[in-house]
Amino acid sequence: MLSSKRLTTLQPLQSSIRGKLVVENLNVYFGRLHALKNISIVIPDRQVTAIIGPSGCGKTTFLRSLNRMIELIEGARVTGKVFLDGFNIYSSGVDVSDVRRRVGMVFQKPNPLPMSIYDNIAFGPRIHGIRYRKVLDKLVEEFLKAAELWDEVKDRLKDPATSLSGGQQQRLCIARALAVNPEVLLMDEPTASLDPISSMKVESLIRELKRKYTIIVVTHNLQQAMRIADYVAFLFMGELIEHGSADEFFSSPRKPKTIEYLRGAFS
Amino acid sequence: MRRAMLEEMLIRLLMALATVVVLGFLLVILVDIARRGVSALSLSMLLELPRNAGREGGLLNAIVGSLYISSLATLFSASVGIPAGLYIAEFEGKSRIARAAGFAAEVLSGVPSIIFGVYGFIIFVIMLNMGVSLLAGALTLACLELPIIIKVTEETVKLVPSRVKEAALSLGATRWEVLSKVTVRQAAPGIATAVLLAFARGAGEAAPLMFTSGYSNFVPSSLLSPAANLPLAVYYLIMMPFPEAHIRAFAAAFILTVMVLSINWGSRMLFKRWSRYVVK
Repeated sequence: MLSSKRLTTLQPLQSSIRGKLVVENLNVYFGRLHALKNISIVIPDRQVTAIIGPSGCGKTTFLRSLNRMIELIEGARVTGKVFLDGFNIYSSGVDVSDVRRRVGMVFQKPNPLPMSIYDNIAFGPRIHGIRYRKVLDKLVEEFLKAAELWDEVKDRLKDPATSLSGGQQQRLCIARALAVNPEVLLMDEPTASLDPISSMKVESLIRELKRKYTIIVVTHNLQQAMRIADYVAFLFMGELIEHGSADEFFSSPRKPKTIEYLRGAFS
Repeated sequence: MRRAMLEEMLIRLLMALATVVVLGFLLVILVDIARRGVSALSLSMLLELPRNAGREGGLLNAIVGSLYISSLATLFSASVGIPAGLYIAEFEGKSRIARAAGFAAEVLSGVPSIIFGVYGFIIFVIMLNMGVSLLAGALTLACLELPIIIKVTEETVKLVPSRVKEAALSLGATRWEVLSKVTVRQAAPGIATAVLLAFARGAGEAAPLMFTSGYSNFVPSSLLSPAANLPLAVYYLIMMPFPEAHIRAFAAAFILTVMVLSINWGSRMLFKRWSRYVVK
């Protein structure tokens, strides 16, 4: 089962893989700073794509431009296109709320909402119109289970989310993101603020979740990228230097910059 | 001994002295009020109306009057001040009106309370024809409490971390949903404290009420009847040439102090309790 899954990831990116997100000539500017330079990439459906690169290379900016969270930053300007299942999320008349519901996000530092564990999960379904208590109860249980947190919190759903440990909070945030039924999950260094055991739990969760979701993970941890990624994209100074299947990327990188980076020449 | 250590000791001594002065002053007031007030306190003091020009009977008129005026005033100022504070905090960067309102609140908080009294009289009592009444007093006091509620609300809302708002936005929440369901929730303990502090501040004011709510020896029967209050009770009773009235003044001062202190203490408890869900 696992090996056959692994086989599919060995196929070259260009051939039969369906692109869930297709990015075309994406540029992001913060005032005069040109933060992302003409990025074009296809993000394969239901696979884990890792975005790697040194600090300040534009990883987070890239991630945030995939669900238009980038627009919350004052002075940010975006050109180019990002197609989600063929629809450009930047074309006029697109409902930003809907884009963000379909493209969920997990942040670097766990950011629970100021409410109970239960209400954190129910928040999304509620704002998208689900009112019935029974339905909400079911959703809360389903997604806490999906994030492998249910057993730890089922007896204290009314407790404040902030009473959970950092690792639990991050899994709560993942469950919360899943509860609005997204298709893509963007994760911005989701284990950066966690201890090793919590990190491992989140990583195994990521591997589990890719059956149903397209996952894009920003990480500065190459080992982590090797462990979880099917595809890798390497950003450097706002440019996409190289991208491809994880096996190829790590075993036979083509660009000198990539080779330098993998050797640890800069970080 | 080294010079630096000597300096540090001296500074610490000065700071300790300053603390002792503050605490001592507070202690003297509290102990004296308690000593004189408690001895004058009785059930009839709390439950009866004054008789014989304040020489006999109780302070019920002032206690009930104070509660009515301060509660109404806080209700008015909270229903304007909380939305105003939210608006200023959220739109200060973009809206000139928001900046102007923030500035106005700041200026308003520096206006002496007797000026509120004078303009409360001109605007509510005379121009709006309310007469010297509970309503006019409450509205005047509301104007005095308004800047407190606006400023504290604004500051608490500005302290809501952006990552909390981002969490909601990333789930597809609209700006309004973020404000009403997340920001307000995170800021709720601070806003509740603002309301209670405004109440306590209003309850202790005499000057704004002197010409607006007047004074009466009865419990107000309607919004348009004059109403007594505890600060003015202290003032009027202490000015009387009878020792019996002076005792009553201390009883009123004691009740007022206990009321204000317990609200302050209560607001702290409430803040702690409501902060359970707040993200730090």
